[in-house]
Order: sequence, then structure tokens, then C-alpha cells
Amino acid sequence: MAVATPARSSRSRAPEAAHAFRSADELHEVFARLFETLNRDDRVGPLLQAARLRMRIVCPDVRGVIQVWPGEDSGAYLEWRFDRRGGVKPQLELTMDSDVLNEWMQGRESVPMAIAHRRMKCSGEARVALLYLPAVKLIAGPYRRLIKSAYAHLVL
Amino acid sequence: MSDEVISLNEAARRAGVSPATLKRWAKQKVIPVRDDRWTAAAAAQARVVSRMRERGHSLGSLRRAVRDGRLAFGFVEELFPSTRRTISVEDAARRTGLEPELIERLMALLGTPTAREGILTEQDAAALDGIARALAAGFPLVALLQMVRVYAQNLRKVAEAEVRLFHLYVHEPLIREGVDAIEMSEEMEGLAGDLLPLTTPLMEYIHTRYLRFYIEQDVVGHMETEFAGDPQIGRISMAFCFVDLTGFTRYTEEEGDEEALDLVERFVEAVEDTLPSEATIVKTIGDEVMIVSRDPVTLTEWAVGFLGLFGERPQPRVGVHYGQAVYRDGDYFGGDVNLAHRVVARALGGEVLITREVVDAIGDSEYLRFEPIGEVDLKGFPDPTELFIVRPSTH
Repeated sequence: MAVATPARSSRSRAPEAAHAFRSADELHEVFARLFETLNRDDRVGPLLQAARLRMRIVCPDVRGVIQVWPGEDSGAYLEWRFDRRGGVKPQLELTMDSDVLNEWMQGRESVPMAIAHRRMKCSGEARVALLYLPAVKLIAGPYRRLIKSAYAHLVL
Repeated sequence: MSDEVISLNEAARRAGVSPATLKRWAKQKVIPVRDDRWTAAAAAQARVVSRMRERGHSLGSLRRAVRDGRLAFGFVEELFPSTRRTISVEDAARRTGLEPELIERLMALLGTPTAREGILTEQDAAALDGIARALAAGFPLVALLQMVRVYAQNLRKVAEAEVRLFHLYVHEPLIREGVDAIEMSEEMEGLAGDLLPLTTPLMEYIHTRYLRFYIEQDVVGHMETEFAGDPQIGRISMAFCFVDLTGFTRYTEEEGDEEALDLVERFVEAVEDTLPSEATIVKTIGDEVMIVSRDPVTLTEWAVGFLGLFGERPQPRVGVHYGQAVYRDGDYFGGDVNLAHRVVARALGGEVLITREVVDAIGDSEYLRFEPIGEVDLKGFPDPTELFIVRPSTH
């Protein structure tokens, strides 16, 4: 049966990642501020803690690493560090350039599409991604507010 | 309105039983009456009791149900507009200009049994007025009938979900706490009274949002592509995709119903959250999701990426076919849809299986490679179907 073939999706990426973080320092600064905000948020914080988020995000373009896990005895909803040492063994590791991370955090990148387009790699206990994806949605609002207030170059 | 004090005769009139019957029921504590104060709420519950009696329930069983709070929902009836005023189908036909046969058909579509008795309420007549105006404005009858069916089927599900969820999360906990029947009824009516006015604006909001989304899709010319070279009205070229979880039955047996249901909810939510913007979920049936998209490229890429998120059982599997279907009643029908469904049934967990039509529609892909598995006999299709496993491209 002859059917009309649609035009290919035109969601192509810019040659230079215009909305990438400028450095690992900036990446870590933004996420430290974000996690601090979430730790003060009595609505989102407990939900993230309950999701048992144990994730490592690696951004090779800026050589940045984010490790985040639920607070246990510290009284905080989340704990984090910005290197590979210490912390809690992550269940899920996602590797992506910082512009992809920025898009994902703003709800503009779909994880499966990013994986399919080789913009993101997923390793670890893949099944927990199913638990973490909805949890990460909770971060989008605070993240957007944060970058809008202080990191305009990251706003999409 | 439930605490509105009314006379015994008025309560009897509202309940549709005699005052003597009402007093007997009050004495036997099947309707909540304190200090001979007859209220609209008590009359509402009496109507429920009357219906239960007609269905053969004894006063003893009703008394136990009242004591346990299981009839407390009767109070909520007072929140709805009265439907006591009725008109005949013939009168409605004269009023709206619609043929009586069409009214009967519309009422059957709307799932309103009163049409069988030839009696309509004022609300029915008002709905028919709206339908008549839509027809007078030039909307084709065949499309309008489909639209009415879609509204009725989907809003029936909405109403059913509202009542069931209210029952599960409000009524049952009150019963378990042993709350007094009258107190329970008042509490439920208070909550329902607060919630009910919120539902219509919320539904309007969601409806408007989706309407805007589909109008945008239409306006930007996606539909032009779909109809290209296709003179048949109502037939649409689409990629049809089914996703389900392999080993789900065994998972349910091993992990229990609640855990399995949680998994399905998370799975469907993950599908909804991650689909490309031009793809849409048509329906979900248990652990199976039917998706359509005008773009087989992004849909197939999504499927490959989505399966990359699952490493353990129960693993999803995906079947995609590109073809044509008849769009009716908010759903897609036809051989190509059935074929897509057969394709997913042949996939193993973790596999994306597609037909030759999808391969041709995608063409060269930077991200995907297609491994032919040969021609496969699919149930219900006389000719073998060429199938391909899709994998991420390695170059």
C-alpha cells in the first residue's frame, strides 16, 4: 500500500551547544544551589527523598560529576557531592553533555529520545529509571526558577 | 443543602414513598433522622433505600449497611440538579426540531435509559438543544454522532473513576474508622460539595489544552501530510505502535496485584512523559499501550531509547507498523492497526519489531539499524509479513 511519507523530524541540535554550562564549577554551583533549594522545599523534598534517588550524572564536556542520594541521618532530604569519590553507590548513572542535562532539567529533553540519539548514556540498574523519571520532573520547576534568576544563558 | 429542614410530606414526596413508610424507615434506622427533623439529606437517602428495597434488599440488611455507613453516598445526590421535571420525546422533538428517532438514537448513545420510556428530563432536553444547534450550524450528523459517542464513553469513565476513587479513598476509610453514619454522610457531602464544582472547570481546562494541541497539529499541516494522496475521508496515514510488558502475568503472580499495578502505572506514566511531542497515546489496556504518530522516525527512535531504560523483567516490547486506518470515535480501526498489534505479539522482551512499511518510511537513519528477520506469518493475515528488529546504530 502506498502511503505518504512524512518529513523527517527536524529536531536537530545546534552545532555548538548554546545552552551548555560554562564550566564544571558553574555546573556544580547551580546544582548545589538547586539541591539546597530542594532541601528547604517541604513539598518536593520529601517526594524526592521517598523516590530513593541514587543517581550519578556525568557531563564529559565540562568534566563535571553530580552524585545525589536521599538523606538518611543528616535530616536533609537530599545529599550530594561533585566527584566520584564517596557518596552512595549510584543505582543509575547517566552520561550526557551539560547542554543535554540543562535541556532535560527544563523538561525539554526526553530521556529515550536522548538515548536513541546517543546524546545520553544510561547504565546501572536500568529499571530504576522508571522510578526516577517522574521524580526528576519535580525538579524542573525549581531548576527553571533558579536559572532564570541567576543563569540566564542556560534558559531555553 | 443536606441540612435543609423540610416537612415529612415534602421528604416523602422527594423520596417517592408514603410518609408512613418514611416514618417506619426512620424508626428502623435505615434513614438518618434525629429528633424528628426531616432533612433533604434524609430524603435523598430514603430514595436510595427505596431503590435498594425494589432490588430485593431486606430492611435488616439495609439497617446494617446504614450502621456501617455504606449508604452514606445517598446524601451526595442532593448536590446534583433536580431531574424531577420531565418532558416527552415528542415534546423534545418539537422543541429542538430533531426527529424523535434521532433523539432516541442520541439518548441511547448518551447511555440515558429514560429514552426507552419515552421520557426525558429537563437536562436531557437542554443537551438535545445543544446538539440541535450544532447540527443547525452545519456540523455533519455522522460526525456529530461519533462525537456524542466519544463524549459519552469517556465522560462515563471519568464519572466512574470519580465515584470509585471517592469510595476507595474517602468512604472506605471513614467506614474503617467507625465514624457515625450521620456524621459520615455529612462529612462526605461536605467534601463532595467542595470537590464537585471544581471538576467541570478542570475538565474544561484539560479539554481546551488538548483542543489547542490538536488544532495546532492540524493547522501546521501535519494532517495535510497524512491525507496526501488519500481521497478517502476519515482515513489517516499514521505509524501505529503497541507497547506492552512481557512476563507481566508471571510478575503479577510473583509480586502480587498491587505491586504489578504500581509497575503498570509507572510504565504508562513513563511512556506518557517521554513520547515525542507528535505522538499520542490512543488507549491503554492493562499493561498495553497503543500509540499513534504521524512521524514513524521519531516514534521508532523513541521506542529504541525507551527500551534502553529497562534491563530487567518484565521488559517492554514494541511493535510498529506504518499504514492507514479509519479514524472513528476517537480510535483507529483497520487492518493496519490489527497488523501492528500482531507485530508486537511476535516481539520478545526488549525488542522493537517493525514492518517493511516503517523501514521504508524511515529511510536512511543515523541512529537506527534494521535487522531483517524474514517473512513471518501473522495470525489473521493471509500473506507473510516482512519484519525487522530495530537496534541503535553503532556508527
